[in-house]
Amino acid sequence: MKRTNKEAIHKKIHRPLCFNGMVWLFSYVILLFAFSKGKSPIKIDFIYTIGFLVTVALPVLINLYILIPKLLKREKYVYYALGFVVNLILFTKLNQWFLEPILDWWFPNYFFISYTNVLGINTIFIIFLIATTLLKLSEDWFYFNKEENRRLKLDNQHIQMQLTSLRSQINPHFLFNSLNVIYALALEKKEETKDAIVQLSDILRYVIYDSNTLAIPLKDEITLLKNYIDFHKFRSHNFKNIRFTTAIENENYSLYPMLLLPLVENSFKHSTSDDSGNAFITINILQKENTFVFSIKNNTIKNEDILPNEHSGIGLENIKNNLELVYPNTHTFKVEETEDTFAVNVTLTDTKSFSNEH
Amino acid sequence: MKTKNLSIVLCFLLFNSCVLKSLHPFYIASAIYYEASFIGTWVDSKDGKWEVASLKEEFEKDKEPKTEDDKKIYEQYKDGYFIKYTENQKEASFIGVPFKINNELFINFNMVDYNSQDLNSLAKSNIIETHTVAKLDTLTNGRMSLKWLDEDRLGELFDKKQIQLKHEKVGINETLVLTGSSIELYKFLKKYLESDIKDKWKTDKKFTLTRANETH
Repeated sequence: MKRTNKEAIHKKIHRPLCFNGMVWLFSYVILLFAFSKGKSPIKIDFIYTIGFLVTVALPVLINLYILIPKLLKREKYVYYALGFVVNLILFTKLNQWFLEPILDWWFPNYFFISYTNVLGINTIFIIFLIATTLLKLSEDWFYFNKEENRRLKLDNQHIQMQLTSLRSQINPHFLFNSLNVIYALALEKKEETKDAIVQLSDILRYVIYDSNTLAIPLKDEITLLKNYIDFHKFRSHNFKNIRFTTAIENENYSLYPMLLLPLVENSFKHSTSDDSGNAFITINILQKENTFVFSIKNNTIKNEDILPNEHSGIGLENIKNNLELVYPNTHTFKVEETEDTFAVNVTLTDTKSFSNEH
Repeated sequence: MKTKNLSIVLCFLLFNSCVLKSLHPFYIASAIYYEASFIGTWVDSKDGKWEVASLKEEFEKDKEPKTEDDKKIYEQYKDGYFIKYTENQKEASFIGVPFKINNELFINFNMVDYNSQDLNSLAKSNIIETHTVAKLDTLTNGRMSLKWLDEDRLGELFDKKQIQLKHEKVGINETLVLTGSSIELYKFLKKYLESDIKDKWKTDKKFTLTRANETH
């Protein structure tokens, strides 16, 4: 059965060891205090409390890890109520029937007499099951609320990204130049004319329609980059030194769309100004298991006549923000700039959870 | 007068010193087991005389009209004994209720009367009737042995922190008095019987009883 997004998120945020460690340590102290009747606990109290806690832990864990996720969270309220009651009654009775005989067998010279009666056991079990259910729901609510806020920010950022893409990448200037290139090819009746039109069309379709989602297969993103690079070759005939290598294990690997194009576009923007023939762009994509590495390097030119573009820093900043939101704590973003080169390295790790979410 | 008071104190001490006392009986209703062979007159090795009669028969002998309270007491103790213990002409009466745990017979003692006519009224009002428990064993030649559960044995368990049973220590002597319910006391006795504690029935209060007609 395919897991729902909520389950995937829950699995990601819930830390069973930490949660249970705190719950059962706190419970042990409370029960120990109750069983020693407010006096200093003695040896036998410690033993009995451990035994009692084990019998309480079983129904509580069943409730937390089976009944709540399988029934309550799937809105099967009647079945959940039924399961809750059966779980409660069954383990309360098992405690009454077996706890003291087992302790008596294990500790023949210890006398576990004035601890609990039937009413006391029932009360403790009811309190534990209800309290831990509320605690679990509170924990879930806290994290889902946090996740919801993250998603809102992400959606907002996504919209901003789309706007930025439309404004800075597929800007009128790009379209104008592209159409001029196609016009020139058509005048010369070159064979590549139709290829250029198709590539431009593919780029526009991807940016306007396909990227309007939170995840996209890696192969589509690579196709976009190839189209973009090929189309740029028509624009800059002297720009031959482009190396694009990939080592992909899974071409359906999920990736946040339009994550890489701004970096490629940025490289072209700065490299193509170099008419010396030494301009270069090197792009490497590596994907293996849950790790994704994208690196890009290009030459830069020092030309004081070129004023810093209004959007030059915004593009990189947007990518950083996207990475923070989409891949929190599972990415690195490194920029290395020398006198004549500019390189960016993006690494994504543990992207399995991203794939599950989207 | 002094002699009489002394006898009361001695009689009281007989069942007070070192014998484990409880506010509630040591048995539960379902465990009561009437043992007819205990009925009769017995003597012990210290020339004490034990006259044991069936409470049911004693009730039936009494022809006076019964009140609701009498009927309630009858229902509660009909399977018990009326035990009169005389030692050196000092008498004390008890209601003894026999009960079984794991096929072993016990008697719950509850003192109902002693020579208290001349006891200071204030002193009388300071005395409460507690329950004690003795193990009854049938020996060879028809003899019987009564061994009270000793306070010291339980004190050792409390000292070793091996027991959780409601209790209080009362008076300047810090006498141990169990305050747990009859269900808890019965549960304790059962576990105690099954435990492998050394000398668990060791006590200063033990009597070997022989039928009176066999000795005279």
